[in-house]
This record gives sequence, structure tokens and C-alpha cells, in this order.
Amino acid sequence: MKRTATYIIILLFILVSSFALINEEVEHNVELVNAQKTYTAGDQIVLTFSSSTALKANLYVSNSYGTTFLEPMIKDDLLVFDLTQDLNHNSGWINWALEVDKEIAIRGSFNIKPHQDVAQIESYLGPNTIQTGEKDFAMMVLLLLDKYNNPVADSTKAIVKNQYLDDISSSDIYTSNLICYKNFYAKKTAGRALVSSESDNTYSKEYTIDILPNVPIDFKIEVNRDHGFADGNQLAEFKTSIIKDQFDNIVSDGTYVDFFIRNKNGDVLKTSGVTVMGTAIGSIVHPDQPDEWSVKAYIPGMAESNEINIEYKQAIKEFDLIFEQETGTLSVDGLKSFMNQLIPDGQRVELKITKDKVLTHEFQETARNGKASFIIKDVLLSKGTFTFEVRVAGLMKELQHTNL
Amino acid sequence: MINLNKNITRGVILIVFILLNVFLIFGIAKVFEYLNTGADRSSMLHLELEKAANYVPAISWSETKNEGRQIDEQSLKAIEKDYLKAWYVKHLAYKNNNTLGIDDYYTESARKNIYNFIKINNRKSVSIEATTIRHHPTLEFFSEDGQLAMLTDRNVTEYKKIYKNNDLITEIQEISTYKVVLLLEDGFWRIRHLVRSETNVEDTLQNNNENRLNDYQIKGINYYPQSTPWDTFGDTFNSTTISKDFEIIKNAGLNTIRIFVQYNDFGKAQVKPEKLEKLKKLLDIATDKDLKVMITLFDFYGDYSVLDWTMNLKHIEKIVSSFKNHQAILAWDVKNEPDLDFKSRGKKNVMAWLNTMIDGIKRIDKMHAVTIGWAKHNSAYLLKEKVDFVSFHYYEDIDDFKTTYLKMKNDISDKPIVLGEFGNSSYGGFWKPFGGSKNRQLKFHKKMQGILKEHNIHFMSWTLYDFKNVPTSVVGNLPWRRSFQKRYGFIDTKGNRKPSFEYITH
Repeated sequence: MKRTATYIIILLFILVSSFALINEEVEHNVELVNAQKTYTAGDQIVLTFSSSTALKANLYVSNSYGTTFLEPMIKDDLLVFDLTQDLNHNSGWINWALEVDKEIAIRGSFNIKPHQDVAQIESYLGPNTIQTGEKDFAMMVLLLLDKYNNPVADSTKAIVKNQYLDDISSSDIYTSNLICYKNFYAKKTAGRALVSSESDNTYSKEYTIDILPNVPIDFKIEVNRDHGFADGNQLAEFKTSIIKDQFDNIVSDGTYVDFFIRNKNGDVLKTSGVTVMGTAIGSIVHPDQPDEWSVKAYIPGMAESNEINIEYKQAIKEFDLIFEQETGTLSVDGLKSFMNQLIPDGQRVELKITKDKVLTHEFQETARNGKASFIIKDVLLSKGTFTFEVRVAGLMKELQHTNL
Repeated sequence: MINLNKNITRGVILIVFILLNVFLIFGIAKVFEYLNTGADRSSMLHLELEKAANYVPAISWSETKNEGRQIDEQSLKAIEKDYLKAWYVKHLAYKNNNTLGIDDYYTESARKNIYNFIKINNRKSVSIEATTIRHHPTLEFFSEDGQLAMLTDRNVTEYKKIYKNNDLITEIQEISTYKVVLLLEDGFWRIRHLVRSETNVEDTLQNNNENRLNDYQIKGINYYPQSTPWDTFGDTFNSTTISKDFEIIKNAGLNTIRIFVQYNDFGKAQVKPEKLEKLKKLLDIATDKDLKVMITLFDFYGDYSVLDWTMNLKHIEKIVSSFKNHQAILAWDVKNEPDLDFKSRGKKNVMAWLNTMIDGIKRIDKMHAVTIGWAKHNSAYLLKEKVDFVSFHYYEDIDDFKTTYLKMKNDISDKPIVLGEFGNSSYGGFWKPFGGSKNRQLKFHKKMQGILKEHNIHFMSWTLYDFKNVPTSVVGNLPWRRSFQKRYGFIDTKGNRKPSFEYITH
């Protein structure tokens, strides 16, 4: 009995050690049975390895986007890895490596080509507003995709069409480096162009390019006013001619125009307007004293107008100045405008009081019903000679009063 | 009795009441806390990725002009930044099998592919640690409106580790060319298409069997300044001290020094210019004194994780390219005693790291030798075909040295072997009364030099000086270790030559 046991033990030992020997030798004896270098997206992809002994192996697989690790199915002593479900969609090269006992036994790669049919067109158009002329253009970039969302193979044809007014043109472009593109140049007239693309019975939507007028060229201005008197009440309107670009397109509505006014004293006044149908209007109230204006309009950085000169005449010719000793009130009366109408309410009336030729007080009032009055009782408490100097709309009148 | 019971009852009621209140407040606090969770402002801005500027693979754009609108520098930088981030978030996603950040750097249709992989890998408990080491992109096309770009990224070197159930299964390197379409969406350049258009299974640098040491016989010493051991390039860096020390080394008859560049101290991926300046000064002084220098990189570094590699390589690139033409350079020592990290960091991790770093150095400096300062002589066989000379440290029994060396010499016949560190501490004080003495140190070096001379062995001893202080990061806190480590020098702390100085070389 004892001897038999010893034999069995020895036999077992030999058996076990021989296994170890075989395992070591077998390690690299693995082969890919179905070597295929290219597939098409959507194909069934199965890698089958043969090996002389049953192996515990896994397959490392990586494609354009990621990496994973697959377990085999064992069929008739073959190691079968099915990549169909998870890894047959993305185009590009797939690397694989068969791992046996934490060592890589064999590795290789194959290419998955995109499906040949275009199933979807992704279009990117930009910029979608361009300027008239011959320089500016919009670019249409197309990504032609197969049904698995892969960019199709290089040199796939796409047709791009372009409509502008009565003109419809079509051109063929071919993909290269995953994309294809076409530039659409602007025309000399402003308007709207439509573009579309198609490839392989797949059609894009319609895309719009707005061709906007180019930058404005110099223009003219004129003034409209109801009368030429400096009444400080009516509005003067500055109006531009129809502003156009160099190709005779009316500039876009809303183009901002600044009107700069320089008066007799060299002060600058400003008004502005935006264009509607090419014309901009800027308004400003008449001055309240005689003046001479020179007006010029600008579209900043782009264009300017001619300069026009306008003159404002004195509106008030005469007024009365009355001082009432008892109430200490200085009244300005008879403020009449160019047709002897009462001047509009709100006309500014200024009073300067000098005592013995020294300016002591200044007052300001606004006219109402052609009148204004100053209560200056408190000013006249001291003795001396006072001069009241009243100024209305550029007209000046003086009155002297002596306090005894 | 009744009173006592009453008091107990009162006490219990009181305690129960307090506890009840505590629970109540705790409960309310929890509810409040819950209501306050949700959209955190910092996460809204995706700052977590902005903060982590730790993915810096070498990237070199080709100069060719692109189709479409001519790109400006700023847009190209923006594309580069987001393109690399796209790689980075992908690596993170596959490492952790979650989708953090993917939305930002991949368009809706592209991210589906990544989600799909995460789903598969999650199911199979597979995770992938990956990095890319080099990118060579060419901008092929930039659209007129600046919203679409297409680039070809040639020879992207990818390194991957595949884990299953957190167990490292295998590692793999791939070199591939990718065609990429990017769209500018919400201020991010997002990948719309990624197609691997070519692939090369492997590209390792050719093993170069030139003898880069030529006939140079290394008689060297490991060097730290006496006052600042393990901190050569610190604030107290002083060229006069170094100049004096090098003079001593030179006059002793030595021709080489081994110095250490600390990874963190030098600024990791963003190498500090002032540190480079100091290193340059040291090398200049060495040239003056006719000494050659072996620079040991990555001192005090111990991470080795794959996602750290790009930073490590950037560090190498900066230092090696700065000094590859310096006359004083003899060799690059990738890392001091990396075999000591095998246990804590995993041998495979460390080996893969060393392999990559050697490639990294050799790619930049094709002239100088590269080696690894192994701690144990039996580690020295690792990567021996990759290094230019084999370098090992010996602190074992001196009586075994000769046989050990001769065996190595026999096994590694085609590469020079350098004894990078050896030494003997003269410490024999309180902590180790029978440890060493100056006399024993003398005997040790006398014997060593005898063997070194007999077999013409390249050597670098440990070390010039006794140190007053040894940082705890070197040998730990234990006083007997620190005291022992302080007394390896040929010159004592007072600046006197110890008897062993006579045998500093042969």
C-alpha cells in the first residue's frame, strides 16, 4: 500500500511538472485565424484565434474613441472574440492585443472604413452676413456622415447650390480630411442668397446668406426749419441725402449719423439720427439768440457730409423795463417776437445788478406770457447807485436807480 | 429612598430631554444641509479642470499653413488647450469609469461613443489608466467664421494600463495618427469627430549599444554641500563653497561628482528658472575644476502614476535640453534607487515609468549616457539593454563585493558597470556603540580601493562630508539611523580630513 501511494505521488509530481513545462512552451503558439485588414462600419467583426492548448486569454481592443477588454467564447478549441456589437460602428484603425497570463501573446490592427453611403449632411455656414462687393465671402463647411455618424471616405462628392436673384449655380466639391467646403462670394447688390447641399440622395436644409450693403460713401445734408429767427422754440431738422455704398446700395436701416454744429463762439452742439431708407434726420431746437451755425454730419469712421451754414436772426426787437420803488420789483414787459406775438413761455431772462460799477448780484427768470419780474427789494437796502442790466435773447437793456 | 428615586427620575428625564434636543437640532441641521447641496458655484464654472494644469504632453505644431482662414496665435492656443483637455478628461473618464468633464470637450454625438465605452467597461469591471506622451498636430483647416477646425495629430504616443477588477492585467503602447474635427461651442473647442487614421503598434527607441562612456574612467564621489545636505540648490546655495569643495575633490584625484536634482524643489513641470541658474553655476564651476557631473533626476519623487507622466517628461525636457550641451555633463541618472519603491508602488508601475523616462531623456539628449542608480545589485539587470551603463549601489558586506561585482561583470558583458554609491559610516557613539570608527572607515576604503583598482571599476563613493543635520525625509526619524547617516564623510564636521581621506581614490 505504502509503495503504491509513493508511486502515485511520484507520477502525480511528474504529471504536474510536465504541465508546467508545456505551458511555458505554448505561450506564443497563438494565431489569428481570420486575418482581415479592412472592414466596413456595420460589418460583423469576429476575431478567432487558434491555439494548441486551451488558454485563458482576453483581448485588448482600442478604437478611435476608447479601449476595452473582451472575454472570449470558446468554440471547438478556438478563441472567438465578437466585436460586432460594441466596436463595429466607429471608423478608423482598431488595435488589438491578445493577453495570455498577463503577457501580450500577439497583437495586430485592422481598419474599419466608413460606410460608403452618405446618410446625413452636417452643414456649417458662416459668417451668414457678408458685405457687398467682391472680397467678402461666406464659407459652407460640410461634414458628410454615414449612418453610423462617421465622416465618409475622402473624395466623396457633394453638390452645393447657390441661388441669388435669378441666378442659380451649382458646383461639385469633394471631401478631404473628413470635410469639404465651398466659399460663396458676395455680389455687388445687397440682398439675400440661398445655399443648399446634397450628396448621394441626401439633402441639406436651405441656408441663408444676407448680403448687406458695404460701408457708406460721402453724402449731403440739408436743413429744414420753419423760420430763421432765434426763438429758442422751434426745431431745425437736418436731413441727409440717401446714403449709399460704393455699389449704389442704400445703407442698412439704422446706420447712425452724427450731426455736429459749430456756433459763432466756437461751441460744438451735437444731434444724431439713424437712417431709414437711407435717410437720417437729426433735430435740434433753435438758438435763443442770434447765431451762425455751420453743420456737418459724420458716420464715424466711414463717411461724412458737406458742410452747410445757417444763420439765426434776432427774434426780439424791443422790451420794456420798469422798476417799482414801493414793491422793489423790476418788471420786464412787452417781450414780443418777430411778428409781435408774445414770445413763447420759458424764454430766459437774465438780470445783473451792479452797484458803483461792481457786480453784486445775478438773477435768472423765465418769461411767462411775455413777462418776467424780479423782486429785488433785499438787494437795495444799502445806499448807492445801482445799475440793472437785463438781457433777453441777445438783446440788452439797462436801467439805473439811485438809492438815497 | 423616595427622594433618591425622584432625583434619578428627574435626571433621566433631563438627559432624555437634552438628547432629544440634540437629535432634533442634528436632524434639522441635516435637512438644512441637504437643501443647501446641489449646484455648487465652483463646479458650475468647471474650475476643477482649470486648476489641474497637470496634463502637459509634449506638443509640437507643424508650421504648415492651413486651408480656410489663416489662424492666429491666440485661436491656435485656445484649440490646443481644449484639445489636450479633451484627451485629459477622456483619460480620467476611462480611469474612473465616470463622465466628468466629457460634456465640455466632446460634442453631443461624439460623447456617445465615450459613454458607450464607459458602459461596457463598467459592466466588465475594466478600467484603463492611460496617458499620451507626444502630440504632433497639424492644423489642416480653419473655417472662415472661426467655428470649426480640423487637425491631424500625427504619431500620438499613447501608453495604457488595463485593469480588471483593479488588478493590473497588461500594459501597452500605441502610436497612432488621429484626424480630428473640432467645433467651437459655448466657448469650448469640442471634439466632433475623432478618427484614428493610421496606427503603428510599437515604437521604442532603438537600443543604442554605443559605449557612451568611451574610455572615461569614473573616479567619483557623491556630493552635497556640508551645511545643506539633500538640498544643494536651496536658498543658501553658495558658489564659493561649491568652488572650494570641488577644489578639494579635484585635488584628491577624483574626476567625477554625482549630484541630485529634486523634482518638487525644481518646480515639477514648471521648472523654476532660478534653480536652473544655480545648476548652471554648479556645472560651470565643475568645468572650471575639470570635473564631470552625473545628474540624478527625480530625487524625492515617488508617484509614478500614469497621469503624472506628462509632467515628469516636461520636467526632463526643461532640464535636459538646458544642459545637454554643457561640457560638464557626464551622464543622466534617471532616479536614485527606484527599486526601493517596487514594494510600495508596484514593480510594473516603476519599470514602465523608468522606461518612459529613459526614452524621454534620450529623445532630447542623444549624446550623453543614461543610467539608473539601482539600490540593489540584483536589480541592476533590469532594463540593462536600455541604459548606457549599469549603475548600482553597494552597502552590503564588503567581503562579498568582489564576487558580486565579478558575477555582474560576467552577466552584463556588453555595458560598463558603475558602482554609483558605497561607503562606510564612522559613527560609533551612543546609538551604535559597536558600529564604526574612523579607523574602521579607513580600513573599509583601503580595502575597497584595492578591489576597485584591481578590477578597474568605475566608482563614486558616499560622500565627501560628515553632515551636522540629515533631513528626516532621507532616513526617517530614528536617531540611530540619522546619526549613522551623518558620518559617511571623508571630512568631518569641523572640516578635518578623516584618516579614510587617504583612500578616497587609488
